Amino acid sequence: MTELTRRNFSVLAGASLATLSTSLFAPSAFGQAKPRLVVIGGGPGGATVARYVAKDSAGAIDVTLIEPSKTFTTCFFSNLYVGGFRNLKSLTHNYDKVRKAGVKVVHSMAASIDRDKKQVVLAGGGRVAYDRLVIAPGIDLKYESVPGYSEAAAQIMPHAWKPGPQTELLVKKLNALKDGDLIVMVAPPNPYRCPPGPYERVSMFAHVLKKKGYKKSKIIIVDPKPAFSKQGVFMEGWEKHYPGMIEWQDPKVHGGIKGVDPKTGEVKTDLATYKAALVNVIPAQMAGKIARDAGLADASGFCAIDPENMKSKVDANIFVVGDSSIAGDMPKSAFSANSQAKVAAMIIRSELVKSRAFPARYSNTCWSLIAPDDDIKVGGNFEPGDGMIKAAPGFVSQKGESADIRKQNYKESVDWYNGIVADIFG
Amino acid sequence: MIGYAATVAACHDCRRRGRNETAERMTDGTAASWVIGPILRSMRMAAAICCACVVAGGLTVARTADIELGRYLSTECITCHGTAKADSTIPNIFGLGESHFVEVIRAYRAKALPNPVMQSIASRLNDDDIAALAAYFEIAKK
Ligand SMILES: Cc1cc2nc3c(=O)[nH]c(=O)nc-3n(C[C@H](O)[C@H](O)[C@H](O)COP(=O)(O)OP(=O)(O)OC[C@H]3O[C@@H](n4cnc5c(N)ncnc54)[C@H](O)[C@@H]3O)c2cc1C
Repeated sequence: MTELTRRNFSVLAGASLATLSTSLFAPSAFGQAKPRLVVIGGGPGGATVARYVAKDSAGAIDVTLIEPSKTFTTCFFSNLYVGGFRNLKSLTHNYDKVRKAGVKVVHSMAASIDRDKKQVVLAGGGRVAYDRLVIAPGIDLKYESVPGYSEAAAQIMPHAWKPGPQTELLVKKLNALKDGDLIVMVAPPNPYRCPPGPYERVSMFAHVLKKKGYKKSKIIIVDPKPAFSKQGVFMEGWEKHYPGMIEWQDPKVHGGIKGVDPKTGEVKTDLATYKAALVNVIPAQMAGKIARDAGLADASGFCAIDPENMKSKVDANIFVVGDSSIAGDMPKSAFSANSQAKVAAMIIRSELVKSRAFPARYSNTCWSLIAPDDDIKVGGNFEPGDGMIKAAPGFVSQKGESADIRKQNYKESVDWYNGIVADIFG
Repeated sequence: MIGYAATVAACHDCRRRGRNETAERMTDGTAASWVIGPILRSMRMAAAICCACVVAGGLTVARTADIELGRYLSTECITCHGTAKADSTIPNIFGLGESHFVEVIRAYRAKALPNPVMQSIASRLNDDDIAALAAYFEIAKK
């Protein structure tokens, strides 16, 4: 957490600012104690907004975060857990410091939103009133987008696209493979969380098989997309580290994904039927249920936002940040969610306590590990333009880069992880 | 212009104090700083005219470092730099000398320093943004 100097802080504290500010700003004039911000979802999007508004408003805004889970395990870096570079504990964080920043953390599911009354209804029936609401529930999976797949089937063919038990199941199955066993990944269609994620995961599968000395196992990716993020550098890395082990099939090759059968472990395409010992199905995605139920999502299943401020296009009192939003050219990533959250926090403070507002600026970088010390990155800046969040020319790792650069990227990614989780959770 | 230059020379000492006071207003409760009293108010005025002087087109132009802007822009930096330690690949930038900060970011902007992430971030910072960030990070603590 960033603080100004101790001296500044004590001047602040001594001036009894909360009292002064509430007497100066509009809401108190009408008898309401403080303006209220409620945030649904304690991931990179929601926890960042809650913590930033609480710490930067120094008590002038009443901030409540609604999140059912007492801990948060990050999806980001979960591929490094798959590859054996991290344990799950090192990816699990709690809300103690979010609380310390002045946020009331309510461990409950938000059941619905009463937009007319400006209240969130909790699973237990209680209601929490808001002046501004932030929704950051992440994604839900469209299980049925892959015929034969379902929530029950995910116990046999894990998606591991939401963190925790699913990732553990995937790793258990990976570690039980014998030499010669086949892995099939059914990759997701756009848009989905973490565009390079599936391909980093395949790299980690290959790393584990290679480390075990397996020579006969193969990994097949059946992809509904004709191309993928950082494709050139991923494929170069696969040939270098895992020659002949990984086969990527685009729709022209497999002709269409017909479905999966969890009972037999089969994946059917127009080209062939594969019987695999490990099937990782990553289905199509949509905004979290609470956002869809509140009528904030459009036909795409995600929520349209105003690129200047991350406000829902449907309701000016509601902001949508992170994976649930339609963020134009920005990928669905923790980095993006955190970046969007800071814009939303700045706008929310300007609306509720008249702090200064600045033009929105966003950025993102995604690192991916191909093999030990061989890490690639993609990223750039984003700004409002043409009614959406538009990308400025960005950067991407190049083929044939030196081992030094790739190792440096890996170290950078570890520092980034430490930095961003502290920025999200305190 | 001469007047500005003289003020800058004369108020180097008050510059930091004035800036700290400006920094106080960066949390929302700090509407209070408007009513703390004439002493702080005069310090704030000093802050407003304490500025970096840059030469543009042969004219000396007074440029005020906007710390509040610096704080907003800094949130982008903090994502990666917030927990940096001595041995980190992503270095610490808190407490960095203002002129050093300006020099480094300008070098990234000119692509004279490597690392596409920093080149990209610097690419959209204008001189005012860089001055604001430099002023902020010189006084900000982790
Ligand atoms: C394998 C993998 C690798 C990844 N790698 C990276 C990476 O390297 N870098 C990167 O930047 N990103 C990465 N990502 C993406 C990143 O994890 C997501 O983009 C990010 O978590 C999105 O944040 P969010 O806050 O929008 O949603 P989430 O992280 O999904 O958080 C949503 C929260 O909302 C809560 N919630 C949902 N519904 C309700 C409700 N009704 N009431 C209360 N709470 C609710 C949930 O419990 C959850 O805690 C990766 C993802 C995967 C799957």
